[in-house]
Amino acid sequence: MVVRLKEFIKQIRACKTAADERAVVAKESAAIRTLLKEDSPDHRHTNVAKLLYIHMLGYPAHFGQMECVKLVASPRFADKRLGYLGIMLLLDENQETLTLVTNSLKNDMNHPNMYVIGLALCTLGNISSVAMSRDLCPEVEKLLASSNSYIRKKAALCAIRIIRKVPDLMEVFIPRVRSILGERNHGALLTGLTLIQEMCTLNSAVLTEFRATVPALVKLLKQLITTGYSPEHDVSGITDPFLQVKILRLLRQLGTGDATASEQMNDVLAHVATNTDGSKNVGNAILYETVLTILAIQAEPTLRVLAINILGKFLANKDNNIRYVALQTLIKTIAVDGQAVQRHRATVLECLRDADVSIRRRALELAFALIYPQNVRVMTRELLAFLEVADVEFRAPMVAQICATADRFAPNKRWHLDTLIRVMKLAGNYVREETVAQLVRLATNAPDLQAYGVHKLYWLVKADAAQEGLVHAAVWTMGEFGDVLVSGAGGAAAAAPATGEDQDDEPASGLLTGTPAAAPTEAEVIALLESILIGAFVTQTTKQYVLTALMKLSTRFTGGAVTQAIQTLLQRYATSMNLELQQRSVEYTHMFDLDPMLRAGLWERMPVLELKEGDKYEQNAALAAEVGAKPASAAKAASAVDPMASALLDLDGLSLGGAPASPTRGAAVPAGNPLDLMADLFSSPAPAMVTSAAVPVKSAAPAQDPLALLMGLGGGASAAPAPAPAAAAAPRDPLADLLGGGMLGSSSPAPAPAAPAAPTAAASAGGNGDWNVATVAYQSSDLVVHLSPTKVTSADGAQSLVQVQAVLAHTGQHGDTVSDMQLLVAVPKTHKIQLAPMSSTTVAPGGTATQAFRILNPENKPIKLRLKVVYTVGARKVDEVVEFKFADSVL
Amino acid sequence: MIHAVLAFNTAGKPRLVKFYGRVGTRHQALLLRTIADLVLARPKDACNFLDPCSAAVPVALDRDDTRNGQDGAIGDDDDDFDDDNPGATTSPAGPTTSASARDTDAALAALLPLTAATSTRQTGAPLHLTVVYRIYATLCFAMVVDAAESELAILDLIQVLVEAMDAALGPNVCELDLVFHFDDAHAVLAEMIQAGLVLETSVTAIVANYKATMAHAKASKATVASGLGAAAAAAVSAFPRAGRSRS
Repeated sequence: MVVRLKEFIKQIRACKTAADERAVVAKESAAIRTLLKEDSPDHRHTNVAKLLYIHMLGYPAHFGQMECVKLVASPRFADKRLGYLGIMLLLDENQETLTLVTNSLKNDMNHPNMYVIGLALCTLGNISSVAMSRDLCPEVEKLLASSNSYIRKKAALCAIRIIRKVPDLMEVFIPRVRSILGERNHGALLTGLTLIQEMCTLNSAVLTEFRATVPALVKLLKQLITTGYSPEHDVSGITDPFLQVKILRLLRQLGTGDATASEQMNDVLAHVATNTDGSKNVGNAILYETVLTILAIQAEPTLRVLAINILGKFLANKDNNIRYVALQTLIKTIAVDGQAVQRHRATVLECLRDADVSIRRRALELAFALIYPQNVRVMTRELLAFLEVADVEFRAPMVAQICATADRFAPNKRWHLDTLIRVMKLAGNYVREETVAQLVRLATNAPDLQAYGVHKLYWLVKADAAQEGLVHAAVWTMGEFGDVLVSGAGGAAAAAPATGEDQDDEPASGLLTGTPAAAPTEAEVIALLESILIGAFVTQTTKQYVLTALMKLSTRFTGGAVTQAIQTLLQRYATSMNLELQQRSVEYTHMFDLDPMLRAGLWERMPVLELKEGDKYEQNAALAAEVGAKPASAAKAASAVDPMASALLDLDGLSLGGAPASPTRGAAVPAGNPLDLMADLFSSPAPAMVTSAAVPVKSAAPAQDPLALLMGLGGGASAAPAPAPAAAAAPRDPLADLLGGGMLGSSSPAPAPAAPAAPTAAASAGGNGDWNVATVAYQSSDLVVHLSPTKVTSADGAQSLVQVQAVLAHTGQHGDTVSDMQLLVAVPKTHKIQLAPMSSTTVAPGGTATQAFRILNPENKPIKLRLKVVYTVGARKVDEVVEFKFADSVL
Repeated sequence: MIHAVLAFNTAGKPRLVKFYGRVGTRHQALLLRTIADLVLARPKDACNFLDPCSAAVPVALDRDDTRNGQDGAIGDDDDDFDDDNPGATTSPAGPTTSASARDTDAALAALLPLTAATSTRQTGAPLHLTVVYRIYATLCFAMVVDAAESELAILDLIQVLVEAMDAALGPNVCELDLVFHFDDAHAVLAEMIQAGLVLETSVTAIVANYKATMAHAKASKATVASGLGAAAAAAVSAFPRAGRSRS
């Protein structure tokens, strides 16, 4: 016995579990399949009905397709109806079935009964393929001219499907469409307008042609508004809002980018905008559509103001739906008319606290779009306040956005630093690596803020060490600026953690206000780091940060007990299961066996990471002052990720993780080698430094061996961003011994001329030729640099080599010692240079230091040099660049 | 255009499923389930739109349970799909045409392969699909629409649909009417929306057309002998090969 549809549905509904339901469906499907094989016409209707129900529940029912086709062929309308429904729901791309369906459709479109034609048109509209469209186009065209509005409207929608599938067929329908505007039946008018809309979308020539219909459309719309109550089309007191919306949409399409058409519709738009009752959703739907149209076309300025004001009203509406669309529209509008949207800022910020998550999300998006240099302080404060309560899913993107905004619009460094720190404090676990890098870059760049920053971070982490991003930033700064931290210089500014919040909007002068908080002692700092290290939720990365910070502090802090504590902490990880930690521990512990001076050199301050736009803050301040600044320009100036900062992170990660860029650089210091040059290379991809011919310099620097070694240890020089090929020339460095000379060979391709180290360089050079007359290359009140070139021709005479002895002499004009001297030399790309270490980085009054370098000049071109002289006198730091050219006689 | 019209009860059971575009059964079930879960999880006073972010659709298509548990079991197990991972769109049928849309949109669009492909090709713009829904007692009506429709107007359209259903399927239409007369529900819908485009918006006209069709169907049942129907069907069966290939 065949189960009837009703019985089947009841069975399904009686199922207690999903498994039961599956079983019932499977059983019934099997029964239907059997019946299908028997091909009994009596059960066809029931079978298809059941299959459609099964389909709705989400089970496969495609084997019923052919049954549907057979049902359609039945003369009974009820069967046809179900058959076509089945075809619409079940049909796939099967070609054979489609052919059969096409035949049925063709027959039914010529059927005398309007409902049969209606069914056929409905089906065609839903499933038409390209072939079907071509086959049945004539029928549809004929029906489009039918006297029956029921058929006309269905045919219009079929025509849309056909021209979507085969745009070439559009020509056929264009003549028919012209008469549509005279249509009295609203349904047919609506579908006709949709057809026009579709044609305009598909073909811009047609769009231009239909611009001529704008006055007619305007008239139509006016009629709708002014007609009194008509029961058939009334929705909450408004006459056919759907038709009004459709006309407004079409007007938008026709008016966009055309002044005449826009002009023609200005009046009616103003009329609709002012006269529509906005108390119900229906009215608001029309108003919303009107606003969109006004904003899209070339409307009069007053009309635009009206539109934005309507959106403002929407924002204050109680209905969430209205507010949602208002926010969405404002987001789109902000590109067109930012100032007008700005007026609603307060309301937008209010929406951030809405109970509805969709509204919050839109409001947040809009809030970020609303940030200008003028309001960045206020907006950021609001957003930070929101960050505190924001949904978890919002936090990560918000943090990224706030940081990008801070980077883009920060009025000064102090504010920038404060904002970053606050973000990390509030949502440190959502902070990405780049943000930490951003902060590090900022800190290295602002010497006046280092003390403030490190203090603030110290107290914040002491209060709450659960925010990973904050901990990373704090540990790094504490390691780097530990000496500043304990000196108490910045305590005044940072004071206690509690005051951190309300200072963010103060100008940088706030640095000196407030009561000084006691600076932590060295032991306290180490204790804090230790507490982080043994924390329950600490990650491996954090531990790496801490180990490196500890190592830095071993050179920054002076107390013997502290150094002892650091060593103990480091040794704890000598047997760590984590390779990275163990490696650090072992390497760092070994460094304690070195000469303290050498260690101090190894762990010197990180090089300053240059900002790309040095005067960014001034620009921003200027922008903020300038009322009406365009957000677009600021956006252009923006740059999300900073290559410099990430370069530093790369360097950090190369072999030792964390922040061991300093060992690579510091390694050169004892030998007096200006590897800071390399630091410069890392930190300044900016064009400014490229001009100093950085490229050839890369392969110079003879005494890079420790660098290469460290890299080699850490997993191969290949990982190094540093140009290491010329490294490892002179294995005279203590580190080389320490870390094993064996590595040397493997990690360094032997450089061609085994560059002799500094003291001997001059002597050996002296054997080959005489020093020429010294020339003054640089002179200041403190220092004179003499260069004495000697030309050395290599044995085969092919290459020209110039040895240069640089003598850095104290001028003796004052009694202060010149210290931290560095001489960096760059040459054009055609030359190659090798620098030997300086004999001493310090010169007392009357004293001198020497540094040798050799320039390989394969093309015998005039040698031009760019010298960078860096030194410290007393508290004064000098950093100067000079150009120098040897007299031709030298060559 | 309208990409789908869905009705489901507050337990997530499908009551009316209509996709305007070729969407596989699995996709349909999955999409319905996702939308139901998202909609039913929302607070009552929230706005009636699912914005693209929350409309991210899980695409664990290879999972074999098609999720048709007993009534009431549906809202419970949200843990087996994550809305945060729309990037893993691996729909076999889903073309990558909407790749320019935001990830979340892409996921939704991938479930509507045909329509997504069509409209992206035409306008060149990414689809921005929005789900607009309205809840009536135990039934929820949802429409998936793209940017060519006004969200607020669609809200009114849902109202029209419900009013039409109410007038057509009997006064005080309830969930059970939809269950046992799902073909009639489809017929009402067909008088209102055809091929994803609005056909008629006047409740009176929709109901009148529906009733006329029904009257015609009843008349045909009474007058035409079943023998004739069988004969006509036999004519179609003259394509026996085609018939077998599908069974």
